[in-house]
Amino acid sequence: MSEKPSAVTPERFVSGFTYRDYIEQVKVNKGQFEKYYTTGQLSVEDARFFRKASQAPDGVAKMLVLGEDWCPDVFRGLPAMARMAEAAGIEMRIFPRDQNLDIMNKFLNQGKFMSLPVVVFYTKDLRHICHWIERPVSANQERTQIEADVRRDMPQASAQEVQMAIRERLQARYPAWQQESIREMRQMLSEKLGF
Amino acid sequence: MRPMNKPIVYTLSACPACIKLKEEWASQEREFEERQVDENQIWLDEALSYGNTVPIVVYEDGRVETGYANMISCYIA
Repeated sequence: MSEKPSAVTPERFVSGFTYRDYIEQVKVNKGQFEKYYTTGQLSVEDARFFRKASQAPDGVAKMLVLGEDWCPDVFRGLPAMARMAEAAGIEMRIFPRDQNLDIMNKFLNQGKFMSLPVVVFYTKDLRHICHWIERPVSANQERTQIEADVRRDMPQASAQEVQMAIRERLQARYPAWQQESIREMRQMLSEKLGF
Repeated sequence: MRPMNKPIVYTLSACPACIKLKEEWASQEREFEERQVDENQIWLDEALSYGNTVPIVVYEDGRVETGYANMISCYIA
């Protein structure tokens, strides 16, 4: 655990946006961030786990998140991450990806994709514990299935109607994907911290 | 809605396919109006009425094309 050196210095870490400041400055999707903050609540058990993770020796003290406000994975995932940080007393800082490509390049998805969001869990002295990228595995599987189902169910529809139907069905799953994201991050931390 | 006299291209500022489209169209001296969806909620909402990924091109005759040159498009929904 905590072998990798940090991509950021302590000074740079605190230069990131707090969640409140980030939401204040977003140019698009402010309503979506607010909506998914409401749905991204933690269970009592989850909150207890993240508190324990923050209080463990070499536990999680800081979370760095890379995001962009136009990205649906960000406006869905980031509010749930904020809930985690708040529940556990973890300091979370947010960095716009396109202005922080040096950080992004250390956390590429499959070593090549600049997928968002990325959340990096650090110890108090910014040693890397683990990181999580983009969306839960099950969401990728569901996304493919939903797109196939809509195309099958709407053979006469225009491309725009199909896209709209896909979007509606995907967004209906977002609250469940938030919970699955929390579960995946919890499992990842559980393995790294040994409880 | 006022009639269009050139295509509208919905883009993200850091989307590789969008950048490629703009570069190639500029080199061909093709006129277009760019609407960066990460800069403006109205443009983002307009783009979402046409598709879930950018780039999106809306031509003067109403045709809509998404993506460019088989490059990976960027999801906005």
